[in-house]
Amino acid sequence: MNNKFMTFISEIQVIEKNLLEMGELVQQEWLIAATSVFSKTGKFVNDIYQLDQKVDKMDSNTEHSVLQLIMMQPPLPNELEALTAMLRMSRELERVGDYAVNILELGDGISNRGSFQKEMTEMSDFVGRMICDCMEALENKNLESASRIERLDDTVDHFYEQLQRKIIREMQRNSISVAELANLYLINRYMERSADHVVNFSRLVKKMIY
Amino acid sequence: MNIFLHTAMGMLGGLGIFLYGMYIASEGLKKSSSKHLKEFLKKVTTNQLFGAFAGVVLAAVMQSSSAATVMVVGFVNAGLMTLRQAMGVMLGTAIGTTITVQLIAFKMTDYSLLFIAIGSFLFIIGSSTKVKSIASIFLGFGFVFFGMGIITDAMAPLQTNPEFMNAFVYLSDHLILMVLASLLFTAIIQNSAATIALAMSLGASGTLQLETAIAIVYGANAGTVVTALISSINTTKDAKRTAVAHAFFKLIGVLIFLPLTEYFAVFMESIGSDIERQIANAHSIFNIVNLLILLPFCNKFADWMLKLIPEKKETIKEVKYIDPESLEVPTVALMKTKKELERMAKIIDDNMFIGIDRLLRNKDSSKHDTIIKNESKIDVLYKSIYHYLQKITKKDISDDESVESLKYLYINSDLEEIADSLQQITYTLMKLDERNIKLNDKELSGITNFYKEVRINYIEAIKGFEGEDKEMAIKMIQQSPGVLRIEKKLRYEHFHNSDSESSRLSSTYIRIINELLKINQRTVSISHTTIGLI
Repeated sequence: MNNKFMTFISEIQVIEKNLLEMGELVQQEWLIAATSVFSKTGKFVNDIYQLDQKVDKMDSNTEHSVLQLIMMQPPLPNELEALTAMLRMSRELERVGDYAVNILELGDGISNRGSFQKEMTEMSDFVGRMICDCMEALENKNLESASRIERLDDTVDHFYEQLQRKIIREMQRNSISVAELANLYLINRYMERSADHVVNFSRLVKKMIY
Repeated sequence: MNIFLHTAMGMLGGLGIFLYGMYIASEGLKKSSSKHLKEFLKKVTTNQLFGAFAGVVLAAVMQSSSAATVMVVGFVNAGLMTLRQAMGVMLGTAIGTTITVQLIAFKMTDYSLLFIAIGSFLFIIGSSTKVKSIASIFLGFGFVFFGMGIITDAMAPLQTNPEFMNAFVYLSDHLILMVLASLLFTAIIQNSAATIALAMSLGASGTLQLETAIAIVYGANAGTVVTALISSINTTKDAKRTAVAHAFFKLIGVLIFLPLTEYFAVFMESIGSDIERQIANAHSIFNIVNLLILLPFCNKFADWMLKLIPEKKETIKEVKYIDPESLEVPTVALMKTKKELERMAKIIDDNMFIGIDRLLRNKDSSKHDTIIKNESKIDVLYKSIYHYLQKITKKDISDDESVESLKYLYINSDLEEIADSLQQITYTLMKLDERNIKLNDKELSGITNFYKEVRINYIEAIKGFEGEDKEMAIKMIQQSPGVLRIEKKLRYEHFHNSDSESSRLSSTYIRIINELLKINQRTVSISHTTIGLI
């Protein structure tokens, strides 16, 4: 069919493509946030705010496009499922983006903490890989990689629990640094939460077969 | 081989290649530029001088003053240009077409094969329409120059032929005869550049004196008028006026120049190096001087034309805008199709929607006939537009334009169905009348309200289509669930409160609601087309 005309399906695909672009931006956000925790690279700060603004805008665009499309023509049941799934996926991505910004802000007050650095960097790499896999799962409608993401999340949870215990122990021992350690505690928590959002996202991929 | 046969073959064959080249070049130019031209013309025609300039560009791009005329007339018809503005543009087009002749005089003929080579190469490697149109431009001009070369070679032996020379000597003494002969020839082949190109080859071979050649130039200029006049026979008044004004322009030019030919020739000899250049210059200068003399009278001319071809109170014809001539320039043809669709939509609203309103309110039975008569008018319009669009899509049009014509096919069918449903409602109401059955007040007001909502949606859908206003279209689509609600409510109330006397009345009531629902559905479809959702 002539690609100059829109069809209902082609419009769903447009929204889906925006979602993929949004995912790319969130990946970038995540990379900036994760690297900023232990290495002071202030020059990326502006980048992340710009990226996050874009992501927020894309999220509200997704909502608008989905609603408008439903108003245009009644969707088939599986199309409606896909459209509502995209609303939620967009929201999950937006949340991950927000966490990335939070992590970057919290990381600002932390001086070098070699003992946590290794584990935390590993953990954030896992989350980064989850985001990446997630977008791949959506793009190729690959339900298998969706289940792989759940396994990755288990690993992330494991890291989270370990780090949490370690941070608390350090707090008890070194009360002068509690403020700084509290930030680290939150970063740990946000990373784990982000991974959960990514899992939510991946569970929605199976609704995207329309 | 007989020298005459040889010459005739070379001349006619060369002429054939020449004309074919003009055709290809013009098609390529039209396709690569007609969309921009439309925008350009809209901006530039604010006064006569700019208009004339626009005309120069237009004709240079279209490589044909008759194609340019079609475009100008299309603009006048569509209301994008006034008759007055058209006058200046028409004068300008005459200069634009002299550019081809100038190119030939620049001895581009020597490079004709290069043009053909570039053109074919581009054509073979080009995948997009755009590259292919540019290839056609090169190829076309290549053929024009190549054909010109063949003609020149074929003419060369003529100068040693005493009978032929004598004939030309005779004609040189009777310039008017030469003008007429050239006029006739141009009218037959419908191309002034080709006539002048012939004169240039004759001149180059030494067969022709400059004065005689200039007479041919006059004739060629006057000859193009015939084409325009013939093609305006079946068109609107404004098209006729433009064509007739064009004829006057050329005629006046020839009458002014003819007595001064001798001096004109001397002047040309003083500024041009060889005779081909001199002839080409004569052609350009004739048209430039003509423009300078006549430009100040353009507005007057427009007024005179209005007097000469007065507006008759026309009976409303089924088809007003679309005409076969515009098919030459698909951009114009599409513009006119849109105009015609807008008119169709207006007829439906003015004569049918409003008619139903009256029918519902006060049994004015004369409205029956109006609605039914208009429905058959819409049928004719639908068919004409359908066939017209079929013809447009068979032309070599750009992707955007094929999308546009497809959209118009959608709208055309939607409008026709809306008219159909309105007619059905009318029939139903008529039947009720005949049997003297009346809807009760509540039901009548219910239908009237429903009808009002449907009509509001219709009007907004049409507005969206006319202004290519996607927001308006979306707004309209979003209102349509509201219409569905009203329908549900009416149906419920009808069955719920029914103390109904007759089952026939009930089925009639439901039928009217169904038709209105169908109209609303077609209206939504129009808005879908406007936003490009299929």
